Amino acid sequence: MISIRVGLGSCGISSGALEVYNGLKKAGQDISLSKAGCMGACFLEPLAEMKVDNFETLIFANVSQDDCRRIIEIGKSLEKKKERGAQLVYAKRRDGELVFKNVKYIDDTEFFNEQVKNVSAKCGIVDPESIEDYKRNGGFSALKKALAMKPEEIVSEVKKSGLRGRGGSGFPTGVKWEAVLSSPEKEHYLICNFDEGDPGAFMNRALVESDPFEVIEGIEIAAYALGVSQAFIYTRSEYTLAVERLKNAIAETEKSNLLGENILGTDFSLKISLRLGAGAFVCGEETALISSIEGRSGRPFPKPPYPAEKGLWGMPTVINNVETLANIPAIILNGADWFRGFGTGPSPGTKMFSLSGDVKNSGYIELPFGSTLSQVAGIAGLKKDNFKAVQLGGPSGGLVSKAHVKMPLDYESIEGAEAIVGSGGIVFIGKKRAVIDVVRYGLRFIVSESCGRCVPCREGTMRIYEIIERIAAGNGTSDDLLNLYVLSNTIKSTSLCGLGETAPNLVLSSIRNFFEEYEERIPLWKGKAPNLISFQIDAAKCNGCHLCATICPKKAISGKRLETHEINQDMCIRCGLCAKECPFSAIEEHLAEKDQKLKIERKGKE
Amino acid sequence: MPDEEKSGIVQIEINGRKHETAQKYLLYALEEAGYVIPKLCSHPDFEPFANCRLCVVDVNGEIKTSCNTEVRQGMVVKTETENITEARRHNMELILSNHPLDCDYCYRNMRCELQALAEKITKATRYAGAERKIGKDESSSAITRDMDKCILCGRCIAACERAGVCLLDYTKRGFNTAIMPPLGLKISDTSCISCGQCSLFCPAAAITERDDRADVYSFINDKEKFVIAQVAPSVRASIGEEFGLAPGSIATGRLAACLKEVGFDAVCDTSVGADFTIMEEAAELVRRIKEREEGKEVALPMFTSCCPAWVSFAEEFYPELIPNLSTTKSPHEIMAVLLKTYYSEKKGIPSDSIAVISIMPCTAKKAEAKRVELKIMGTPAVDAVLTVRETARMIREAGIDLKRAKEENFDDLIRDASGAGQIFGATGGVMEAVLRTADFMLSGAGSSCCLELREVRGMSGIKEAEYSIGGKKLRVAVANGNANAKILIDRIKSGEESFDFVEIMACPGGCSGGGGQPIPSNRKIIGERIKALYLIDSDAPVRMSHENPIVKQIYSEFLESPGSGTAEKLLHTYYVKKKKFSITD
Repeated sequence: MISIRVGLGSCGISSGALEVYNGLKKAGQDISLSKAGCMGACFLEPLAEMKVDNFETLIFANVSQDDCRRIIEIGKSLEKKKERGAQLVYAKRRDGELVFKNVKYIDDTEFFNEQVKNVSAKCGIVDPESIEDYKRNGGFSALKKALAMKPEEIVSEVKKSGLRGRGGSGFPTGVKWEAVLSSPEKEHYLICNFDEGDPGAFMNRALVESDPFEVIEGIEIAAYALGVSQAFIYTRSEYTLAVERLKNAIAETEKSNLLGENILGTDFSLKISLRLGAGAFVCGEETALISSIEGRSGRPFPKPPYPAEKGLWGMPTVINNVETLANIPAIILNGADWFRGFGTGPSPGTKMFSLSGDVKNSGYIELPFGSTLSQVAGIAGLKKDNFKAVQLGGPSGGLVSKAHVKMPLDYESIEGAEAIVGSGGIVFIGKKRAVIDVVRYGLRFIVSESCGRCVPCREGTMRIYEIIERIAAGNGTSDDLLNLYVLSNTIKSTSLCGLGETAPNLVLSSIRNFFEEYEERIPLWKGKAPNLISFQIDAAKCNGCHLCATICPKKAISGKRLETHEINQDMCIRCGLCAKECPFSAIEEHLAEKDQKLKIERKGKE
Repeated sequence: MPDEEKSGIVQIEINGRKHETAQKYLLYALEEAGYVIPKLCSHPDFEPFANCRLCVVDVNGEIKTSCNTEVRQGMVVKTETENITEARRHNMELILSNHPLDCDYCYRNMRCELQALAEKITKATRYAGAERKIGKDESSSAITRDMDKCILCGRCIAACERAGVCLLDYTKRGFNTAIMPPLGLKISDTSCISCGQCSLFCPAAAITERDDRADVYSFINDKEKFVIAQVAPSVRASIGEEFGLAPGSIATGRLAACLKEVGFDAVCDTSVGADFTIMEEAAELVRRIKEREEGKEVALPMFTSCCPAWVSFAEEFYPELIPNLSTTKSPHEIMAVLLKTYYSEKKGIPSDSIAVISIMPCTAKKAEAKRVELKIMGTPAVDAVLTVRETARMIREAGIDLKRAKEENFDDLIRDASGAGQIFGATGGVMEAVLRTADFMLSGAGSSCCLELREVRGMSGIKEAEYSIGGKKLRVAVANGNANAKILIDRIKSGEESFDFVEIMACPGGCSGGGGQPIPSNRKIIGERIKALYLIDSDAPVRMSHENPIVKQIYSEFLESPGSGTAEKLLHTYYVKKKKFSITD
């Protein structure tokens, strides 16, 4: 018996998997054909996975409609135990005997060998449209176990697991849940945030398209723990396939009495409603999302009150990312200690990332926290240093350089590099690209996606975009760079919502990690050979105000407050910002050859 | 926040000094302690928007906007640090970088919150670049919106919500965000009720009253015209603020003198018109109540109709209530009619050479004056309407300081309104005034029990009371702010409550909080204005309209009696259901 599964995620369908599916249907009447989601290797799509007599599994990659007949022939020949070579065979799973020589186990490929699949374990394997298939693969056993537990036990288990929100901020999920449970209000809401808006992030979509029942199960367990009887899934209308599969999954689950009134004969009842947004980036922000569900335009409102105190329709509301909720069934089933076995102490578990940009292998991956960027580069099929920069966390994340390849991917380390985990988009930037152009592109997105309410985000991002445009065109000045830097910091510290606070991350991280790219583009710097001029602090004039140290883009100035400061000449890049800004004119530019002091006019501080 | 903490007093530390406060939000605690915190969006009448990001302070080492930070026990606050000054300066520069800096010619030059604050925080903006260009909307006869000047603070949205219309909201996103009516329609095409609340709170010159000064000047300069200014009740208690007097200062006589200086040929008191409104409305109420007792079907409760913004609101949103609206014209319209008929006859001035200019706390009156139903002899009864702000501007333009002006009387032919006519400017005032007279009409003798009706006074949104008027029990309700009116009407419509007489004013606080009043306006200032009006009433020699000699005289010489044929013809009007705006045209 030949059974073939075709990967029918958006990635597969867009590269022609539906045609392959129909082709296989036509070519072989006697085979059992089924659908699956995406296993992550989007670059291999369309994928067809063939099982023969329940043990031989072959995976055909980059299949086209014309290959269908050939695939079935191969299957039939295997059935007859006649070995024959097959051009299209890409790899093979470990659960069968090796049939072909020179064919790799798929788990051994560079793309899969380092991955740990927990959340996405069933993605690409189960049929996303069949509840039976999900149940056969262990689905809903966590729900059954959870319904036998007390709600507090579930919350404490989740708290113990150390699960952190996968949507970006990394807030401990258990703590969030406790806050809602302790509220005096009786009515609570649960919102599953499936509004994946960052360019370069698509792992949530892949997860829901491939395994929607896992998300439903996670939502149900969370709802049971939190005493919620109405949960919402908020997503964007452009995720048509995911929406379709979610709708189907909700209907199927309801039919099986695993959702709805008195689930599995218990007192627990839950309704899950789907809410579609128009696809605004800002609606991923909790308060904007709430506004959108309530029927208003999706704009954030000031916190506090936090949604956990006063959220949807004024009721305590938990908002969890879809990946966070998909983690719940496994935690309940295997326990917190199992979960803590993956990842690092403060960031336990695994995280799904999406890989794109200048890479060989694109797709989504799942890695334990603490894996390094070089591992990711390896998965992406890049030689160790065959990239210039990596953009972590979308346009509100940051750009890190090759210097960070050893950096473990967890919340703390990434934040230290002026980037954020964000929802998990990883975009590799190739060597031929200019970092400033990447920044410009990201900022353009931020400028048009800002909700437009608060001043720093609405006006400020436009201004930094304009400055970056000037610099990119080669018309920038060192003033521009200073303004860019201080303005970005103001936006970061005074914006109303999380998106505003992270809006200038691209700029700040690129200044920190790719300063030379700015130097190249700013004409004033050109021709100022480093050995020709130097900046020195006049000890007699320095009051130790520390301003120069704060604004130095290379952190080349050191000194305690109220003491004389010093410039590390090796680190100094002679931009002259310190000299311009020093309120006491204590920093002077020296021409090395003539030892001539140049007076630098201080500007703009009156 | 738990309740005991909310009501309780907490200690915080501000710049090293201890301070005790019961305020909810830090901004107001800081203001209470004497600090001036820059702000452009926060307003004491509204919940914080936290949009302008200028009120940032250092709270326990973190930069936070004070307007929406709740006060907590033991907070350590610094109001000025280097970071904070820098952050405020940046944000101000960002606002200015997208604002036409044409202050010299701007309508609100020298009276602009943005300008005043910019002067304090920064001198110029470092940033230049793209600007939002949306343009002006001058379609409304009440307000003008110049969206190029909008700084998107969000106050007008909240004001419009409080006015029950909810017409404005943020539209588009990012840099192109704009505050607009739905679908970017022109104001005249929408359900705007012209109340002008938005113009009262705008910190820049983005929303202003429609400037009708030019029309008025052309009347004044026309030698053929006899130009009469009439002054609304609440104006006397608020115009002083425009000249630096404390809120609630009464400037009746000084205003009359100033207006004469500006060039008006005569200055009258709209409160006299209000006295007629009271007479007519009381007669109408009494008639309806009697008819109900006779078993006839009458539209009760009767709603007041002197607030044109409320009338528009009812026509737009509750057309089924049109039969319930009193048909009596609003005071300034009645006054204009009397000026163009009775006054013109007595003075021997032909009515077509009389121009009546109403000085109102209101922008909706501008729209009302243009209504076709209110024309007499083919022309609008009121030729132009000025808000308090425009009037003050004209007085300043004439080079007069109201503060130092000598007091003068109103025109001697129609003057001296009753106290009842003057409390029209406060929420509950119309109710109180009408009941004073209705009591007389029903019982046939004045009784003092209805002189001061404390239950309908004050700033709360909905006030209900029951009085025995001329031996009949009447249940009455007063709502101010259309959002409250909505709540009240929905309760009446659902049958939850029944009333006999309902007063509704579109603006919070009634006319004292009107859209044409001086800026700044807030609950506290409005309260002071109202207090002044009640003071005028309690000092008035005549406190009831039906006892006012001039009212009696005009009825006997000209109008016959309240509700008579002449009165009905001249002092009453009708209302029409408004067409909801449609997307197709």
